[in-house]
Amino acid sequence: MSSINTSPHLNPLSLQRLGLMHAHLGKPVRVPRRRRVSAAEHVRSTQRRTTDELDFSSPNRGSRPAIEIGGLWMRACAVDEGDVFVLKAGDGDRLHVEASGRGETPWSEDPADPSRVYIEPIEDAAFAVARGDGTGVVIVHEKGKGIYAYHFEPDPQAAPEPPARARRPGTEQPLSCPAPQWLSDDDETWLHQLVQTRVARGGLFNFAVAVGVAMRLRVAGPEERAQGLAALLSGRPMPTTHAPHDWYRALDAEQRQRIESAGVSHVNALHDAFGDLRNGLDIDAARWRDRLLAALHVRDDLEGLRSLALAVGEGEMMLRSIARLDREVGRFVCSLPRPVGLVDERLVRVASLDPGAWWASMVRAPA
Amino acid sequence: MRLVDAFCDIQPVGPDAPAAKRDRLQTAARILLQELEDLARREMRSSDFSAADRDTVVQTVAYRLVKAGPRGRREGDPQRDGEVRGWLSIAVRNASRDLIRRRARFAWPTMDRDSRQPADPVERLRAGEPTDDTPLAEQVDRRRAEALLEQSRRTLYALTVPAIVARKNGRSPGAGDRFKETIDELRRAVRDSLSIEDLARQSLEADGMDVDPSKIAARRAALDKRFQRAREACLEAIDADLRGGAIDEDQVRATRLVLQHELYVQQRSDGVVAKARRKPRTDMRGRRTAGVREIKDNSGG
Repeated sequence: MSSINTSPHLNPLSLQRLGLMHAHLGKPVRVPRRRRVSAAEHVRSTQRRTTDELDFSSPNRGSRPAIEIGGLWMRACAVDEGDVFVLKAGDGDRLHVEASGRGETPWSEDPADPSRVYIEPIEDAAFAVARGDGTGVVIVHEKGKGIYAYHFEPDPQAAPEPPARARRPGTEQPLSCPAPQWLSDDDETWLHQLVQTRVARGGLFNFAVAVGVAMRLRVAGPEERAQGLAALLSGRPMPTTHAPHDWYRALDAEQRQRIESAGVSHVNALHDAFGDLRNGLDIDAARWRDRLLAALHVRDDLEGLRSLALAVGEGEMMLRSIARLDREVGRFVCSLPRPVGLVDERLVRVASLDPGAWWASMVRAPA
Repeated sequence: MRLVDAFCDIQPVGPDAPAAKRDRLQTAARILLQELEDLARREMRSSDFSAADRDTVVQTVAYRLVKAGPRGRREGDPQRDGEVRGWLSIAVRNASRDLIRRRARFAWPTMDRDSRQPADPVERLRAGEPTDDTPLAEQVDRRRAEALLEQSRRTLYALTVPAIVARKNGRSPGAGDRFKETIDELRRAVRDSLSIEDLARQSLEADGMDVDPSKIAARRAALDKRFQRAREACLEAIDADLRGGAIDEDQVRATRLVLQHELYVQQRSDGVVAKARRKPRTDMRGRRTAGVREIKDNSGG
């Protein structure tokens, strides 16, 4: 292995941004392109597949073999026209992602599985996905050439520090820091913890999700309700209720666009997560139920963002992608043949407040 | 402004909102509140609810919509005024249940969908029971809702399922026949109130295999997958018919209700039904059966 970088997108500055100044890169491996498949070929390949096989095949989106590099499996996801990949550490090792490129480079983690991440290597973007031992993969989309992957290892001569550090999208502080009063103003412990935990994860996207959750799930007291509705009926501004919308509106366009890009990434990840749930259907298995619940929570995270984007009249791509997710995944959830009986306080609240929320249709309250 | 527009657009008003927007939202709020007041009077007729309770529920539901809005046109959401009324009536019932639960006056059915008993949706409509089917009846009058459900049931089994069978057999010989067997198995299971556990045991016994916990679990998972695929195929066909204009939204909703009541397995055995039949049942060929006794006889037990 040598430290040769053979890509203009892996110049020293790029490597520095990815935290890879003290790492050795392997030779580039071209990520296979998608190829067209007929419906019959797709059916045959699907019938042959087991849940362990990672090749991707779809009658609409073609097929693409998985590749293994540096101990990580990389395969395409069942989404969109773009190239979205899932990377998984076969041994369950936690993965860390560093990204560089134009704007906010979309990637997301799997909330139920720290050894799995999703990336969308748009043109001129680069990702470093690292394992706990400092080895990993750099993925680069070279404009006009394709997507390449490089295995890397830490330079043994360098200081003992993992070359890629975990960083969440939007690491700059959100507008309000510390969290504004209206974001902490709830007297239900579980909701308070949910919101504050999300804020503590850092990043603009997580803050926006926390805002959306508080906005939707907090139950207002009688005085606030009466005052708010009286104000609305008389055409006056509503005290405090508009705070989440004003917060979102006050972000600059680039910040909102980054939130929406991250939202699209999460939708893409959800398509894949639900695909796995469908292929590995096992209603009584604890792990399957945990993964289902985690996926349903992510859908609920997106609902608040959806409302905020609608309020400012933006986020068309995110709104469309959520609508498509609801159509396809909603149908899968409706097709489950018996009660799943997930126990979850958050989704019970959602079901109570929003009868049409398909992602809350399988829950019951904790005892 | 229509009710559905008010439902989709309602949102909080900030200090910087232009006058036109404030006027529009003011109108939306009035429309929603009027509708909610009418629904609360209808849904909360019981003497357990005072006028103040109805006001509380109306304000609760209205404020929730405002605070979380705008809702926009979400996939699967109500598209017409009648459907919005159905949605709002469920929201009012949920809020009234929360009110009572907080007071702990008397036991009230929870929203636990696992405890929902499979009962013919048409029978429940006739009995005037408030159920998840009620939104359908809210949109159309009850007689039409009954007719719709009956028609949807006939269409599902006489047209939709055979079409799926033919399509699947065309792609892969025998696949459609296996799909039909799965649908029949599901119908029988629901009709005879069998749980997935019962079905797994019967299936193992029919294959001459030992009935031990690990095999039951594996067979349960296999049955779940088969049933899920079959239901999904029906749902896809219904959606395709809607897109093609063969059916309308009301028929889609009614057909989904039929699926949910007739092709949906209970979590656990209904011990009462397993011991004694309440009323005679017929098998797929229209013969009266002894139900449980016949199952036991078939299994050699």
